Amino acid sequence: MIGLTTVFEQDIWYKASPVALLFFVGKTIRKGFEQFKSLVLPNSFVLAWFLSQRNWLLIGILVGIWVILIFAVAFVRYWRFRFKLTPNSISVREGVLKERQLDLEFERIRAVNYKRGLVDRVLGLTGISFDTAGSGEAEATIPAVSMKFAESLRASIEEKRTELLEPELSQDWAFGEKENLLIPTFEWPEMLRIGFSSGNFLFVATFIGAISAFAGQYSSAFTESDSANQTNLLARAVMWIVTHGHELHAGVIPGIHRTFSIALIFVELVLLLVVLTMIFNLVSAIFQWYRFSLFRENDTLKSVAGLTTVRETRLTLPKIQSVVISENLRSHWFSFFKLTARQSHSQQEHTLVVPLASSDRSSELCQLMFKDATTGLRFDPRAPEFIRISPAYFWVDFFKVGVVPSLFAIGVAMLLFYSVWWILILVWPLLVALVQFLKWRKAGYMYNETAIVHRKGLLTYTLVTLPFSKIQSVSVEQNIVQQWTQRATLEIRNSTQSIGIPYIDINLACDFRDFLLYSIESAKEEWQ
Amino acid sequence: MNILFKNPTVPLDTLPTVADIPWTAVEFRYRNMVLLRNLFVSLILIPMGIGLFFIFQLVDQAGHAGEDFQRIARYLVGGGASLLIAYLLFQWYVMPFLEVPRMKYAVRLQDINYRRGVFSTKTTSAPFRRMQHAETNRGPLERMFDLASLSIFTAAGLALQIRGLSPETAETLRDHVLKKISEYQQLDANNDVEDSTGL
Repeated sequence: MIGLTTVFEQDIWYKASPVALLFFVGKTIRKGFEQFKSLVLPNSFVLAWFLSQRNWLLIGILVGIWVILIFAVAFVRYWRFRFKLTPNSISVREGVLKERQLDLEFERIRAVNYKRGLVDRVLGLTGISFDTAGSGEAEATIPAVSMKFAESLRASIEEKRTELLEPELSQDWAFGEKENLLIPTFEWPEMLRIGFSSGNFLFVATFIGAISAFAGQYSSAFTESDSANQTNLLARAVMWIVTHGHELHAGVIPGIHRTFSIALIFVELVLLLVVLTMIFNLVSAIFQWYRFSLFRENDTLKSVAGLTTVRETRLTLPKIQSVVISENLRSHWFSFFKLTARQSHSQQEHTLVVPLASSDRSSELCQLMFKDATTGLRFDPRAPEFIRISPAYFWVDFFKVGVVPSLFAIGVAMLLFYSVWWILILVWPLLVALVQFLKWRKAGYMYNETAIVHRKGLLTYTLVTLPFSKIQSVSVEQNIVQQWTQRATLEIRNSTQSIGIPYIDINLACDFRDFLLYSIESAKEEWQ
Repeated sequence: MNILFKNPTVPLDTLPTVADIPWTAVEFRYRNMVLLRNLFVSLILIPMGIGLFFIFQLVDQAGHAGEDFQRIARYLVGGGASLLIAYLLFQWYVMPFLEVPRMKYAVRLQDINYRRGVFSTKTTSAPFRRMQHAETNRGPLERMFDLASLSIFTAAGLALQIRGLSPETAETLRDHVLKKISEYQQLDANNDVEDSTGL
């Protein structure tokens, strides 16, 4: 280990490397974009009006001012940024108008994470961030420090933590080898599987929305008297696509009907956008998860991944509050799960994600994360050991969401329309029945003396594991139907997750609550 | 079902149960405070509702829509508004009479429990061992009725908020919670386990 003092002198305020300016530019742009989202987007009609004026000079001047402002603010931030080391702490001083100084004792630091952009990697630098248990996001970040300094700082923090605070804990989790590879580096087959199953449908939905706008624009373009004189840019683009698309179709299928050809263009555009979305997802997955690997170092899990920016995340095993094993439809087809272990309620920081893990690998990782707490538990969502939720869960929601609103709607429809078309409303309860049935089939739970696994989902499964030692509060809730059927909803909360088990026997719910309170209150060790 | 209680040192019947504890209701005058607050809310919302009604009348008279549409819209708006008004009146002026007497709390040696709800009842238990801080709040209306509320936070955020307490009770409870938190921190410090912040 390289001593900290050999890299940086103590008790001296240091400036960050000039490369850190890039970090501050990125940070300022992100902050600027957040403000743009909260201030300008809600007033998007003003923005739309402004852009429609096509005053390119004014737009250019405003964009120029914005760019200059970004760089100016970033430079001042970089100029004001300082950090200092003492034998037991690190201090960071920053701020443009309001100066903020943060003193972090090494013993409070839970994880030291690295983030290396392309420039950092070329120059042998890294961004280093410190997580404490009390913060939802990274407490402090020092950009563009040398790897030598980062490694020695982390070693000093580890040493301090092991020596002063957690001698028993560290012995419990001692692991023999210094570093053990748990998941070997992902290669291209894994990357492709992650890429094709990542991303969200919102992106596709946005495109489909645009296509719908296209269809609407197309119909309005043709209803206007002289379509050739269309001034609307979108309408003209639509006209161009329709004309050329039809010509292309006519070349392949002679005599194709124009309406059929237009419908075909619509389908082709949707397919094109779906393919584009998949490519986009694949590329972003490669950027994020390239060469992912997972290691264990005594009581710490470390993941490394990224193409241009390499992110190294660490999570202390005894601090893990919950583990979520989930799948979406695409990952279900590829037969893998995504595993997310959380140390705090933050969605990004204190969170370790394994983007691709088989059922067996997920089980192994859960057992590693919770040690003996998971004895007898299964992490395969299809395991027969899961206890089903009472069918009352299905029936109550079916009547509440499906039958009652339908009867009301049928009444109103019969009163108003004097027609048999109200019969179409009957589709709604059938739809609700299907959704509720799927939800009921997927819902379940399994527990032992020390942890609970909750299963839920609609088309795919999600498993949430909470160890009892991490639970913060517990509630028992009864609605009218539950009071009548002697059932209840048990809600268990910890600092990262909340699970609700509906329609379990009221006596079991109360016993469970009393047992959970007993285990928290009689525990000798503090929650961590 | 029997996996949970296999451990012979923790027989089920020896566990202290929340069901048996004596509950304390919140102050009765909290009901009057809620009624007054709801009156203020309704005084703001009623003119808005009347305004919307007149706007609808203007749209209706503008004659852009067909006769059928007007008839349907009148039924829908009339029906929906009647239901909404009935619901709001019930929530504002009837529910406090049913709800407040059922808002109860209980402090045990190791935890605080809070029960509320009329048609749907919920009992939340928060152990002192998990608490991080507690605070009392008194808004203008609460000061007028000499009331206070107590909020208790764990690492998961707000665990409990008990409204309608007398200021003395709220402060006593807050002090008790803070004392308990401190006791646990001391205990953990003596046991050499982790830091004293509970994190």
